[in-house]
Amino acid sequence: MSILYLAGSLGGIALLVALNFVLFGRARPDVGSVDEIAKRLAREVPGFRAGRSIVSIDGRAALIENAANRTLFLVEALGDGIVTRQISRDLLSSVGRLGERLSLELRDFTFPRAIIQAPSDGQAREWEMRLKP
Amino acid sequence: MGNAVEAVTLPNPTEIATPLFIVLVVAEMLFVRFAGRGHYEMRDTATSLVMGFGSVLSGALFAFLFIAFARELAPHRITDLGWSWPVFLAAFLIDDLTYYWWHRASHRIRWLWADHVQHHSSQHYNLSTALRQPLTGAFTPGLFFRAPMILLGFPLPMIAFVHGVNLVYQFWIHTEAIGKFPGWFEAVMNTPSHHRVHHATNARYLDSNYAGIFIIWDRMFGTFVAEDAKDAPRYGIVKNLASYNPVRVAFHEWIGIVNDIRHAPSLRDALLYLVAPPGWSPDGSRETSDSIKRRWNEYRAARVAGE
Repeated sequence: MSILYLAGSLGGIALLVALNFVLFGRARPDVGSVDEIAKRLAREVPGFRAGRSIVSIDGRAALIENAANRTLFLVEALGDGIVTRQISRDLLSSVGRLGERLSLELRDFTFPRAIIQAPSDGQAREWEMRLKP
Repeated sequence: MGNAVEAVTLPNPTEIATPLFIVLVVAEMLFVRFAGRGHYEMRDTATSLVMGFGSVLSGALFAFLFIAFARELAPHRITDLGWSWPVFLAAFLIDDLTYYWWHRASHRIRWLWADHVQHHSSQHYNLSTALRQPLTGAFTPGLFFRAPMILLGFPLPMIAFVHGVNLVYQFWIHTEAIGKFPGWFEAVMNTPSHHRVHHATNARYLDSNYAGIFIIWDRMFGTFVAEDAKDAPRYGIVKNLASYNPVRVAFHEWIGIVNDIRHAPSLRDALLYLVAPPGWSPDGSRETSDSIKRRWNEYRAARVAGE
């Protein structure tokens, strides 16, 4: 394997990523509306029905309850998609709140933290109480 | 062709095909942009391409393992098949069958999955996803799947060459730009439609279509599932990664295995964390592809009974 091959490969990667940006831009992370999240979760979780929910005001994350069994799901936007996790005692390491800002620390190597900017201080407090064991 | 095992030097098919890969990725990007079929996301593409590059480096770095393994086994081969077109054809077919079993094992044994999951970690399905290759194959027992061909007496350069051709074939099937081919082709060959199913996380599609070139192996061994237009594939893994960082993509499952083994209640459980299917846990509290399928089947059956 020559230096030329390696340099050419790196140059090729840079050009392809640049072309990707020119053609498609950069996706703004957005979890979407509660309805959209619920539709997505219903495809992943048998019998999922949306219950109570909170969507971060920056649209980057959300918490949504499965009304069918009261389990709770964390949703975070990643690129043009979303990533979901069912909240469990094993997964949730700690919950913190600073005013309207709710922060969840997870025991997950690729998903260590989620921030939810609640619409009000009261809502953030309510979800904090709900999440704390 | 002569009979000397080491006498024939064959090119590396992947190196030859690399310029074509780049041209086809550009063509697919333009197609997706102007025809609106398929998806590209900049950071996802960057991760896939960087991992492809890393995989080439890692392959070169650890090539000595394959060479040492092959040299160790070669004296024990039952015959010397030599170089001829029929042997080449047989090597091509047997390599594809071997690939099927390696691939199937890579979805059912967590040790192998820790490596292979890296290829499945994108939520997109396009030609750049084909290049999202694992970096850690040298740390798995995957090499042992090459043993039968060596022991059967196929020349080592021939084994490496047909395996390279197999990987090059699989590049073009990573696309949403192509629908379905005529029935006879879909019946025999692995196609974009079959491989979309393989990359999907929809319960009905999990653990299916392991083929490399010929889909006949899945049909023979009961793992074939056809793409259903009413159930569009959703790509990625059951627990999608919340990161584009190639290091996290490459090592997340390895970290998970190490953590699980450290906290395993017994030696047996520690071993099972390594060799049981991904998602296995001693108390069954996590989900495997089997438990996901079972849950969905029960749910669908209950819905039908309730109607």
